[in-house]
Amino acid sequence: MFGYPLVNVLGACLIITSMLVVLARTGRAAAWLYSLQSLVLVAVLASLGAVTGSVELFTWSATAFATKVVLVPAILLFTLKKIGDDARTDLPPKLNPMKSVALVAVEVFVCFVAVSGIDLPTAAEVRPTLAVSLAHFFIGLTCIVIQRSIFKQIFGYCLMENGSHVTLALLAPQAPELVEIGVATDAIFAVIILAVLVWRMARYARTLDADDLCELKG
Amino acid sequence: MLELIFVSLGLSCVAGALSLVAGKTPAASKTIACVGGMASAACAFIGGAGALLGPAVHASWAGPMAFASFTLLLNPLAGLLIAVISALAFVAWLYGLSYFDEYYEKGMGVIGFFMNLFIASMNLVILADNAFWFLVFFELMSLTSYVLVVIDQTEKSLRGGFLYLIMAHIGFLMIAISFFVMASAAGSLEFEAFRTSAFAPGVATVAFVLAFFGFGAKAGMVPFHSWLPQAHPAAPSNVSALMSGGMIKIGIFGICKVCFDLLGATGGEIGWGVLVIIIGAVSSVLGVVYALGEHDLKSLLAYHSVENIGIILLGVGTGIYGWAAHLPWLAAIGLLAGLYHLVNHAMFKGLLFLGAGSVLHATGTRNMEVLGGLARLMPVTALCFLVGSLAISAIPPLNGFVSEWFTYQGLIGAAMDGDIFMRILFAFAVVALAITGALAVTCFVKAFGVTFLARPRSEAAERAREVPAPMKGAMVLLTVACVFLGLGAALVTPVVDSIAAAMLSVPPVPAVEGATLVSLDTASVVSPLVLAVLMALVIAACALVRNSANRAAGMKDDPQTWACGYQADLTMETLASTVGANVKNFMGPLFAIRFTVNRAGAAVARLFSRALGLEKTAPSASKAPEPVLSRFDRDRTVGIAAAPHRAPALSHSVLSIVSDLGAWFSRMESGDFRTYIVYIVGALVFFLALIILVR
Amino acid sequence: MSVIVAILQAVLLVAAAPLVSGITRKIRAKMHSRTGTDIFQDYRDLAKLWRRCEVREGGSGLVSRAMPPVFLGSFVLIAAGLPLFMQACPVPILGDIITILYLMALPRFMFALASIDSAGSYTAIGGVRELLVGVLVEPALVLVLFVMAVAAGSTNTGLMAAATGSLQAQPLVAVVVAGVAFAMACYIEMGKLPFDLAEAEQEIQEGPLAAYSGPSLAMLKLGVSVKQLVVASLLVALFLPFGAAVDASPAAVLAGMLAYGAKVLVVMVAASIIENAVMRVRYKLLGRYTWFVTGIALLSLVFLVIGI
Repeated sequence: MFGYPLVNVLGACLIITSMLVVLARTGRAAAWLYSLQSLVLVAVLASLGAVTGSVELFTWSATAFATKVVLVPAILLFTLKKIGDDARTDLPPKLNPMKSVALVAVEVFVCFVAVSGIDLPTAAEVRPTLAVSLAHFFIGLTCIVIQRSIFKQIFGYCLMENGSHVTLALLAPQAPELVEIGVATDAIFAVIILAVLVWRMARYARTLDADDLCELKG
Repeated sequence: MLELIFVSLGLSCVAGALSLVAGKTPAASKTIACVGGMASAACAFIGGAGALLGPAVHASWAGPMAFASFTLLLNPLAGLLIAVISALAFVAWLYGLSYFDEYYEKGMGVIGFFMNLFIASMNLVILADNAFWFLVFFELMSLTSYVLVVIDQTEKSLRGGFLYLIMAHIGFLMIAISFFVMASAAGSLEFEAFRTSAFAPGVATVAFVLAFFGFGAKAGMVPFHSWLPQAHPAAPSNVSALMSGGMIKIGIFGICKVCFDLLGATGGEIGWGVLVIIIGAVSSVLGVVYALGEHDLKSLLAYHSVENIGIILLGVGTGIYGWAAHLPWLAAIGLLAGLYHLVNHAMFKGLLFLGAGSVLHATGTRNMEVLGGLARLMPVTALCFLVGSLAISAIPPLNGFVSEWFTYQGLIGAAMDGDIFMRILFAFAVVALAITGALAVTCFVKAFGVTFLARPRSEAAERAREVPAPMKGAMVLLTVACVFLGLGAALVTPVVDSIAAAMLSVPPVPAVEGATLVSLDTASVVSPLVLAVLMALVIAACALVRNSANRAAGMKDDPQTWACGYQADLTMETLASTVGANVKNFMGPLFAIRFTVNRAGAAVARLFSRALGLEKTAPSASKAPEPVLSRFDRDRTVGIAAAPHRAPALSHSVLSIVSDLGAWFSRMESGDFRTYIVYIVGALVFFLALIILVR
Repeated sequence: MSVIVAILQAVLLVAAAPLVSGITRKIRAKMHSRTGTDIFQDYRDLAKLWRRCEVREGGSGLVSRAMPPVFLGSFVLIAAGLPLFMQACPVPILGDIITILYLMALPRFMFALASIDSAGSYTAIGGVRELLVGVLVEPALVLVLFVMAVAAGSTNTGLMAAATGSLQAQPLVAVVVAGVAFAMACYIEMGKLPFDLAEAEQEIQEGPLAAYSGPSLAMLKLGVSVKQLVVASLLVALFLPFGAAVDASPAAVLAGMLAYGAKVLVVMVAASIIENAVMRVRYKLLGRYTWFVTGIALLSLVFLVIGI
């Protein structure tokens, strides 16, 4: 069961946890689920490292654990606490759950068709995982587009980030550590800036509803 | 065997002519037509049944035209179709012995003549082996059935008949073009020439697609189905049974013949199978959803014909896919499922139409909303209709279940060895078939329950009496056929299997072992006979136990229905619209499709009737009436100062087009950043895909 | 040997159904902070009903009389054919998934027909709702069974159970997601809160059951309990076949029986805990839940096709 099938199974778990993040009702639940999803991501990177025998991937998984599983959800939960009762963060998404799930399924399928023509340096057996990681870009986008609360849209951005991370790991497992440092920095700083923006909007506009915020002019 | 069919054709013509001559005395005319028709149908049935297993019989005479000799071919497929249609014809004539009493003043002689001619032309279409004669008899079939559809001469039946005629001719045109394409490539109009010449793939695809849509229009598949619910209910019920059970099968016969027989030397494409499966799945779901909205009993049954044609097409499509992909088991099982369902549908749809005719005969109305309580007054009809409803809902162990079982096994078996796109397609087909089954159960609970159960809701329903013996006998015959085709599936399957194998030129697949039906690739078995015995035993045991408890404890009858403390009255009963409203609640989008499609169909019919000068309304009514301009529009288009309420036609139409376009674009520019994100990503993906494809 | 197993399965399910519903009642009582009845109370209820005089309503006919035996009989027959104690069907003829699905359509047909027959409005509402629940749950059920059939290579439930039990059913995550979707679909099919729309006691006064009394009512109540148990058993048989006998030796079959009993008890206890923690869903919002389950089944289909 170990080896490439494990990578594929973890890839599928990645989809399931991302879907849970998209469907989560409250901001706190979304943060914890995102932490879980990043844990699965770390497991994917670690198993990929074990399979390809690349040491860099192990360091990647360690840094990803520190940044994505611990730091980012902590920043977001802290932001949630600071927003407090100023604004409602738990707004229902625009698309009902069934259509979201169906959309995710269609995106995964389309990405699989798209990657069928690519030759992987690692192996052809992890092609499903490549499709999954490519689909994460679209799943993150789906999350941004269908969520009404801008706090939850941050999770969409983070999902896209995760997806590109796994794609990079699959396509270039021997890349040097500098790349990893760059990716991690990008993730943390982007999340910090987004969190600060969300906090300030909550304080001054008193709403996190994207529909209302579109009315802001000037 | 061919001789017997000639005898039957002769009997039909003689009976028809005599009945027309005796038209002044309706009773004699009816008896001549019915008895002659029954005799002719019996001969044809024996002739067709005899040809089921045997080798093909070919006969040819020099015809009056030099380019087309009169050629007939009686192969196993033709034998099957002739047997099915003759069985239905026999039952329809038997039924007509009492049913046609109502049609005396509508022209009994005319009915007798045209119905005999209709049945004879159907048999000749099946037998014809030359493109020219095929088309001639096809046209004859359409014309004779048109007369039978409009025999009532009411407004509705005339409209239905007209739409039917248009659709029949659209189909005829497409079939004719397909045949001419093949004839020009093969060099002669003989089907034998088509069989032996291998066409270029492009030519074959064009011919197949045209023939598929042409015969499909005859069969009543989506998108050419709108004539079915208007034409079939207008005809007399036994003619409806014959049309729904027999004539639309000629459409399926045509598709199979063109694909496997005439284009056999060329081989097929997988795309053909995919097209047939998609249209079959869509037809089946849409047919049953629309049936749920009906409260006219015969329109409901007509929509169910659309659904069942979809199911037959699913089986035939699987067969075409298997044949094109060189998977012999799949091709044989798919075709077996399609042909078996064809036979089953003829039997149970005929039975249901005859039942509806009996209801109409006894109460004078087809409207389910005012009926009810007929089961006590017409027990034989109710029992036959119940068996028909169970059969069409594919409840084990009846015949509908057997053919749908084979269809499922074919679809799942195809998914097992398919690639990713095929798996998605077959998953979609399986889900469509399952939804169809569940909706069919709903629809027939509604049809049977609202019509026959509870208490009578009107005078008409209270006056109902059991129908006369010939009508009862006809329904009972078809009920027995349904039960036999279900329980005796182990006997019928090898026959249909050999017919399918003969068409595909492969050896028959082993589908039967003893009393069980076997599906090899999916490693599964079922046995309707054993299932029936087990079900009867277990249910009878439960019933016996319960009845003995009743005898021990006693039973009372309460004339009042318990309505939770309220006085029960007739307005509390379930109507057809109750069930329909519930379904529309959950399946709204599917009904919206029908609205759009019906509007388009009506617009086409209006075009034709205006072109033929049949409509009296002036053409200017077709333009939109002068719009009532809002002040904003008026100021925009005409100017603020003292504008008249009418703008000049040309500038007004240009300005209205521009403002409509502007309104549409303003809807796209929603001001929401999320839609802009979707547009940007969509454009990105589109261009990436374009690059990949071009590369 | 397999015939004996089949008969044993049928008898056991019928005999155990009131016990399971009694346990459900006890759990509900405990969760509502009551003492509740004894877990064998349902047996006594059925016996009491059995001795009562039955009242036939005016206007109802043969269909209403025939419905309780048909309902109970169909589910007994399905129970006899499922691979519960062994990882193979005792009666292969009854073990095909299409046969099982359409055999479940017969009691639904008769249930709804009898509800229309009784000419009352509450019964008819219940019957129509039962039909609609069937229609809405069908796509999810069939999609999951399709995924399992392609993963296991057969439409026979026994072969599916054997494939799952030996972990031969590929791909793995597709089967797991399909199992989750099937569990949700079975829960809806069982008609437990929040989906007990056909017999919503507080809303339509037991629906179609209101037209029955005496032995017929006892048989119908038993039939409804057996139906819930059969649907739960279908889930256990297809997705949790671990512990069932792989060969036909009596010791293995006995062990399989005990394992099955434990598994189905766990499933029913979980179902009753969920049942007593929620309230009934609004009928017109039912579509959202069923389409959500269909979405998950669609996801499992995509996983199957991709090969994860």
